[in-house]
This record gives sequence, C-alpha cells and structure tokens, in this order.
Amino acid sequence: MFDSLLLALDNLLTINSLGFLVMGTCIGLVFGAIPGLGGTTAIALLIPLTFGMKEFEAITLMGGVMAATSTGGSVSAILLNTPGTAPNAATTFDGYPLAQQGKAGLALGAAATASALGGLIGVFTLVAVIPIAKEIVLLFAPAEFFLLAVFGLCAIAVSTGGRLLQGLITACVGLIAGFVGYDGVSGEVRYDFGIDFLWDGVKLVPALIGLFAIAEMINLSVKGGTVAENPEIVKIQKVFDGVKAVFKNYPTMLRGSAIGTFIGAVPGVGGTVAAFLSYSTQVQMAKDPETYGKGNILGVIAPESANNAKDGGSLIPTLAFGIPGSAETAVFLGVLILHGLDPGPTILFEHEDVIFTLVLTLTISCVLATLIVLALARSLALLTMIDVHVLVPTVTIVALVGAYALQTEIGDVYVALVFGIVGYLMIRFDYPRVTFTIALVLGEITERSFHQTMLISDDNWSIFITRNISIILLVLIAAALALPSFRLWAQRRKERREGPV
Amino acid sequence: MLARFGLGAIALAIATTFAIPGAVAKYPEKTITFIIPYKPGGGFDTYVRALAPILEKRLGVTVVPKNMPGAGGRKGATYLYKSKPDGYRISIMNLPGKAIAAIQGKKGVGYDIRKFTWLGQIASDSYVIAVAGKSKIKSIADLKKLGRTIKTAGTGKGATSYVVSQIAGNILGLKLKLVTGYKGSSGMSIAVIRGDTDIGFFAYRSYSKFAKSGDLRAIAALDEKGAIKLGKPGLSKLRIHRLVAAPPGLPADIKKTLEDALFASINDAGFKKWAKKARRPLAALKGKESEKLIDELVAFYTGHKDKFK
Repeated sequence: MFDSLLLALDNLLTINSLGFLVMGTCIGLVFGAIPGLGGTTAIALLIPLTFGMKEFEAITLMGGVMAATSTGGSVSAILLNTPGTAPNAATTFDGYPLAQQGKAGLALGAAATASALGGLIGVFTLVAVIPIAKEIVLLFAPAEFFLLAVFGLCAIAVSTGGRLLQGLITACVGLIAGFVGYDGVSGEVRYDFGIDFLWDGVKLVPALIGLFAIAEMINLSVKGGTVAENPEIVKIQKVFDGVKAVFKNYPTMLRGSAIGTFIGAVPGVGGTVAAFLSYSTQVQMAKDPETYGKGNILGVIAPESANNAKDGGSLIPTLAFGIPGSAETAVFLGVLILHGLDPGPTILFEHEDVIFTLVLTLTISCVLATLIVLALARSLALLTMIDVHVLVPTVTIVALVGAYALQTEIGDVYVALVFGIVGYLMIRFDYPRVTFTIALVLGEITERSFHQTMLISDDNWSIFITRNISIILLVLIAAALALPSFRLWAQRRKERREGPV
Repeated sequence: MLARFGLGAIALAIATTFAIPGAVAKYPEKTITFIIPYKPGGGFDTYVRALAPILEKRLGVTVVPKNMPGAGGRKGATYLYKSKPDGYRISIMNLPGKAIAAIQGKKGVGYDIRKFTWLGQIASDSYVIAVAGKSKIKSIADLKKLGRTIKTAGTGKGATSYVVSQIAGNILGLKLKLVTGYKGSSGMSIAVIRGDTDIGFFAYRSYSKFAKSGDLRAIAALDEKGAIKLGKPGLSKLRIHRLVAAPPGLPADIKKTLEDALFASINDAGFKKWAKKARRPLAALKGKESEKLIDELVAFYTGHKDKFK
C-alpha cells in the first residue's frame, strides 16, 4: 500500500499532472456552477481530450472535475436559488434565503468550507474502510433502501413551514411527477401522455432548474429590485464568518459527512439523496425546525458537507467490486476502460496506483476548489446586488441553455419552463417547494425498492423486521415522526408548570 | 455588371437549393450522431466512445456519441426509428433486448426491429448462469433439487437479461422468478452476491471479473460447449449482440458507405488493440449478415413467446 502511495505521488507531482488537476478543478467549478452541466457532462465532454494523455494524467483531470463540481454548484444554489447540480438542490432551501437577507458571503463561506471538510472526511473514510469495503456495500439491500427513502420522506412533515395541507399537496404532486415514465420493475411506461420524451421520466435537473431558477426569475421580475433585500448588508458581510460557522457547528458537519460517505457507498442511491437525507436529518434533529427554510446556516452546512463526502464514499463500491457508486464514478470508470484498464473487483490489486492517484487528486482538488470559491466569495456575493433587469435575462438564458445541454434535448427545456411556471405559482400562492422537491427526489427509489423487496420476499412483509439494519431504520423513522409531537408535549408541560406568563 | 453578378448568384443559389439530394450532395458532409440508448459509463457507452474517433477518421466527419437513456433503451430506439433516414443518425442496439416487442407481438412500442437498416455488429458475448461465491449450489441439478421457484436478478422487463433468463428457464425446465429494477450488470452482480436472488444471468465478460475475485461462481456456461454439456445445444443461441442500426429506409449508397466504414473501424488495428487490452470481446459482422442473424434469432425467440406475457 505504501509503495502505491509513493508511486501515486510520483504520478501526481509532475508539471503535467498538477496542471491537469488545476484545470480539472476549474472546469469542475464552472460546470458545477452552471445549472444543468454537472460532473458527468464535464467528464463525458472531456473524454476525447484524454485519448492523447497518459492514464494517470487523465485521472488527475477527471478527479479534479469530480471533486469540484458540487462546490461550484453551491455557489449558484445560494446566489440564484438555482442548484448548479442536482445534489446542491437541498442547499437552496436555506442558502438562498440567506442571500436574500444580504448574507450571501456568510452562506458561501460556510458552503465552501463544509464542502472541503466533507470531501476530506469522505476520502479519509474511504482509505480507512478499504479492508471492510465489501461488507459495507453488501449491508444495504432493497428493503433498507426503501426504509432509508421513507426516513427521508418523513422530513416532509417538518418541512411544510406551518402549511401542513399545502405541504402535503405539493408532496403528493412531487411523488406523482417522480413516477412519470418507465417503471424499472414492471417494465411499463406510465403517465407519458403519449409523449416519447417522457419515457425517461421527469428528469430531476431540468425540473429543479424550472422550479428554482426560472420560478425565482419570474418572481424577481414581478417584484423588481435585487436578490438581496437590503444591499447595504451584502458589503459588510464577512466570508470568514461562514468558515467559522462550520467549525463552530462541527457536529452538523460531521453528521452530514458521515451520511454523505455512507449513502455514497450504496450503489444506485446517489449524491442528491445523500444531500437531502442530510438536510432532513438536520431539520428533524433541530430544536428549532421552524427556522429552517428561512435562512438557517446549518441548513447549508448539512447538505454541502454530505454532497462532497459522497465522492469519497462512492469509490467504496468501486474498490470493493469495481462498480460505480455514483453517476460520476460510472463515467470515470468508463474513462479507465477507454484507456485500456479493466476495472473490476480486483481493481485494488491490479491498479492500486490508479486508485491512490485518484484519492490524492480528490483530496487536493476539493481543498483547491474551496480556496478558489472563498477567494472569490466576496465578489460573487455582489451578484445579489445586481438589478433584476440585467440579472433575469442572463440567468434565464444560462439556465435554459443548461437544461438543453444536459442531453441536448429540447424537451428538457420545456420541462424547465413548465416547472418554472408551476414554481412561480407555488411562490405566489404560498405552497412550499421543499416538500415537492423531497418527494420528487425520493419518489423513484421509494417505489422501486419497495417493489423489489416484495419480489425478493415473496410478498412477505416480515422482511422489514428480520434484518438488523432495517430495525434500526424503523426505529429512526418512528423517532422522526414522534419527535415533533413529543417536543410540543414537553413544551406545553413546561408552560403549564411555569404557569401563564 | 453588378446586377448580372447578383442574378447569377441567385440562380446559383436556386440551383443548389433544388439540387436532387444524393445526386449532387456527397455523403457524409456533416456531423453524425451516434446514439447510445443508455446512460454514460456502461458497456454500450464504452464501445461507442472507443469506436467513434476511429469511425470519424474513416468517414471524414465528426461522430458525436449521444446518450439517450429511458424506458430500458426503448426511448433511444424509438427516436432512431422515427428519424430521417439520411445517414446522420445511427445507434447501437442490443439483441435480444430490443426484440421483446417482436416476440410479444405487441404494438405501440414505437419500432419494429426487423425494419431498421442494419449496418453491422460490433460484438457478441455468451452467457453464464452464476451464483454468489459462497452459495452451496453447484449445478443446474442442485437448483432443481431445491424444489421451489428460483429467483434471478434483472435490470428490467425489456432488457436482454430478461429475454435470456425467460428462454433459458424454459429450455432448462427451471421455474424462475425475475426480480427486476437493478441498474446495469453491476447492479445485478451485487444483487446476486448480496443474496437478493439465487442466481443471475451474466454476459461472460462482466461475469469473468467477479469470478476472478471469487464473488460470483458460474454453475453453467451457455456457450456452445456448455450448452452441449447441458444437453440443450439451443441454449448457445442466447448471446448478447451489440449491433449498429440506422432508421428504416436508408438509401443503399449511404448504407454502403456507413457499413463499410463501420466494418473497417471494428477491424482497425488500434480498436482491436484497445479491445484486447480492456478485455472487450469483438465480433464484427456486416449489414447483410446482421440482418440474417436478426431474422434467425427473432424466429428462435418467438418460439418461446408464451414465456413473455
């Protein structure tokens, strides 16, 4: 192992490799920040460029991109209410309200710092768990996926912001939207309205672009002015306060990183679910759940530490079985194959230096990306002071081009526009978008894994209580649902004891 | 003078606009889109991305791989089927997966596999039936001795693994239950290793990696030798085929250009070297041979159509 580490350092510490690493990080930041263009798009576009490179040079380029995209994505999530990549969607819930309050610098500082620390924890966990990587991957079966998704859905209860009925309505609509298209288990296409385009379902990225970016732009053009309600505060906000906030709230950051690493390690779940689960856990454990969605800095730290930690985590199944843990690692493994490597369960024995080069690249790149964002944060925050007459057309065009560029399909642009109008109506009539998004993100995996579980158990429901992990998850779900009522009860009791004020 | 020049230019423009396509226009003259009806990173994606630069050199125009996932590959196939047959859209296709609609005699799937213009085959691989490395099951006979329905993992009803398992189960007299919804062959491998299902049907290449690490173990090979050993030679017809298709009704001259360039690219020394190093099997076929193969195979699959409801 030590030999490989040295070999990897040797690979990395050349002008070319370091140059490609920095280049990858910058590309990752930009592709991450532009809605629609995520890490997979960036890596896929760069593939032809790597044909002329040595394999470890290609790895540093790709690794740089992988580690930087979600950091870049947090910038647009906070400043423009537009998740740059799908895993940044949960960051908008509290990040954008902070920007509206003029505290964009604080939010950017916190997001960038949480990203770097999350990324580092993910990578270190990866190295630490190499001996038990296989066991970790095999721990979760469809029954556990289902319970995990239900646990995430429970967050809907505390995310309605006091509008329970509206929250439940939008959650139901979100679930229905998530079910559109091909059902992977039954093989049937549903709710497609006879449109071929919908066979692939309502894709998350264009839907989020519409729901957040386009809707916000409509809202801003109606309202006029700037994103930040009080531009004076923007100037005095210190980015460093955001950095400090992360260290001060280290339990949130650690929990987010752990969730991110863990979910990353589960093949077929992905970074978006990781960030949402981290956000929901944070809201559910908070003593003041009502402050979330209105600009609580912890609501930025939780998802941002998770969506960067997942990069390290998603390499755990790669080391164990040679299979990808996320969409980015899938494309990355494709690059290795194109370079004539044959990643499989023996990848660690056959290509240990490749893995270590990637691990080192991820480490350096996630720190580098954060430093770049921190250095630019002050200037970036000024975006919230730009007049809507300039901001709205620019962002709208970039967002729609991003939706199109995702798979060069015009249908995605229509999806973004439709969801833009729906999103604006939701703002206008005060229907929460958070609950809608949680349901949309988790709908597919909830349905698929439940269906699979029933096939595996021959319709026997006891499968949910005969496995250790399932029981733990069931207890967590029960706790998540009971906690708000318990808190209310405790509060009333306290009030009664202390007597009327 | 100027007026005359202007008139001339207009006349020329009109002449170019109304020129009969094919007679004057040379194919290819613009970018060709190579559709992959699956997500980036999988087996189909890799073959196309490795082949595209070589094809590009042969044809002299840019070849852009485009992922178009959805409905288990049906979306991309339908998109190609409805495209203009001008030679600027081609797609990688898998058999038997894409033959499901033909087997079931179902309408409304969006395409008829026999009507595509087939340009050739890139690769083909045999199947194995595998169990988890730790499993006690050693043979098909052991499976039958269990005396119950055998669970097998699959990506979806419409995928190649579904067709293979239904037909193989029918031939071998196994009662199979398919647990679907896994993502790609790697998702299926994990399902079998984790014990979600008893067995899985894997293309030999994706199985071989897990065999080396001991995570999966084959209990039957469905190649020619293995099929004879099982006493059911017909099983060896169950292979995964990676073919290339163009929309129906592609003009013969364009078809020939594409077909020849594809065949030459698959036989290109550089591509062969890559395939060998990355351990990807190749089996180049030309268009006509591919068509014959598809007709034969669809007839074979349709013989088991009562297993597809």
